[in-house]
Amino acid sequence: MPRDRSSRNELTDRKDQQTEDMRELRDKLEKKAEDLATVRRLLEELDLDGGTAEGAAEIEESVDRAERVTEEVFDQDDHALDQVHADAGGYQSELKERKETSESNLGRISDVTAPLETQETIDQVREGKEAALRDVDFLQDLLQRAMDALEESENVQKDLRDMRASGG
Amino acid sequence: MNVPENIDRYKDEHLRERFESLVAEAERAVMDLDKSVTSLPPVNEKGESPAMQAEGFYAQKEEREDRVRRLLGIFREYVPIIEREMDRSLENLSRIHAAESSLHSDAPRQELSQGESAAKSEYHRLVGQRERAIITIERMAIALSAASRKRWPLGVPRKSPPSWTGQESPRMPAADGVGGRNLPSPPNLSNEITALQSIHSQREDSRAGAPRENHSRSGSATAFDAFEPSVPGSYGRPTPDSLLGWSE
Repeated sequence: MPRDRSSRNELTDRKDQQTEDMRELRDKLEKKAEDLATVRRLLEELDLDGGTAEGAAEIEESVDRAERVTEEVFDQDDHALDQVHADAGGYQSELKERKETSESNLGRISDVTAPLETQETIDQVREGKEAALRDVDFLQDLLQRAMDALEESENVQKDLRDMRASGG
Repeated sequence: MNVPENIDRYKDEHLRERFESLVAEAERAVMDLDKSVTSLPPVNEKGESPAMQAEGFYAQKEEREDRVRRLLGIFREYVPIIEREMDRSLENLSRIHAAESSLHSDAPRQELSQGESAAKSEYHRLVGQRERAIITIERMAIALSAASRKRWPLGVPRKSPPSWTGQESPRMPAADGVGGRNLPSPPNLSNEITALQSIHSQREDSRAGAPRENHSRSGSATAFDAFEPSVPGSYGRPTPDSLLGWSE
């Protein structure tokens, strides 16, 4: 159970920051994938079948090196995105726990509502129940958005990885 | 630009590897032809020359002309092949440059920059090769033009006997006749001259009615004498002035 008592704004900000981090890294990864595609396409487009053996070899080696170095920086960004995804996954677990805690609290509130006799107490408990419900709804919504963001990011990452593996 | 059907002829002809030796061969051929042309003996329209085996030297000149003509044909064929290779190289250079410009990352851009340099060097090498080919073509054309002005007057000259084929330039008789003594005298012609001189002396003796010293010139005959016409009086010993009127 999470021990801190973060506000809804803090929880939202954290989720937004993670989503932004994922988006930034995804953009970087997309650019690396574009670079990779550019370099690989260049290698296909170059006409190196002429009689310029040494010159052709030098050009081909340079494009090969460009491809390798692009793959390396792709892998670095991919690894960084993995890390952000892992953090996002951890945060999702935390949100789930918070939501479960709120749902548990809601259950407990419901349990205590029945034997209450004074209207004043009943009203206070109802307010507490409504607050717990709002928490559950908020956490459910935040969790869903966090899950959607992570899923989208993971899907894009998978496509980019496929692109890297397939050679363009 | 004339693009040959076989776009890989630069490769097929091994032009990158062979080009320098081809240029060297062409330069040697031009030098040999120039040498032949400048040392051709004078000859008149009847094919007569004061030099021994003049026809052989003309034949040798023509052989060298053929060699230069053959090389000229090769070089003329190679220019569009080199130009096609230049196109290919330029296209590669342009593609590398475009790819380099569109890259987002510095690391691959630096690598491609080296490829671009290599493509540039390749293109400049081809430009230089084309220039050299054109200069070589011009040299060959000039040499052939000069050679074409000196023709054997009696059509296709026959080759010299084997003993003369290695000779670089004709041996002209020296003015004092000293140099000519080293020349081998054609035996038949020499005998003919001796016989004619003998007849001539006898006639002179009979006309003068006086005894005349029968001095045969054969012993001191110069090679130049050997070129005197078999019919005396048709033309005398060639002088520099008379040579001016000869076809060259």
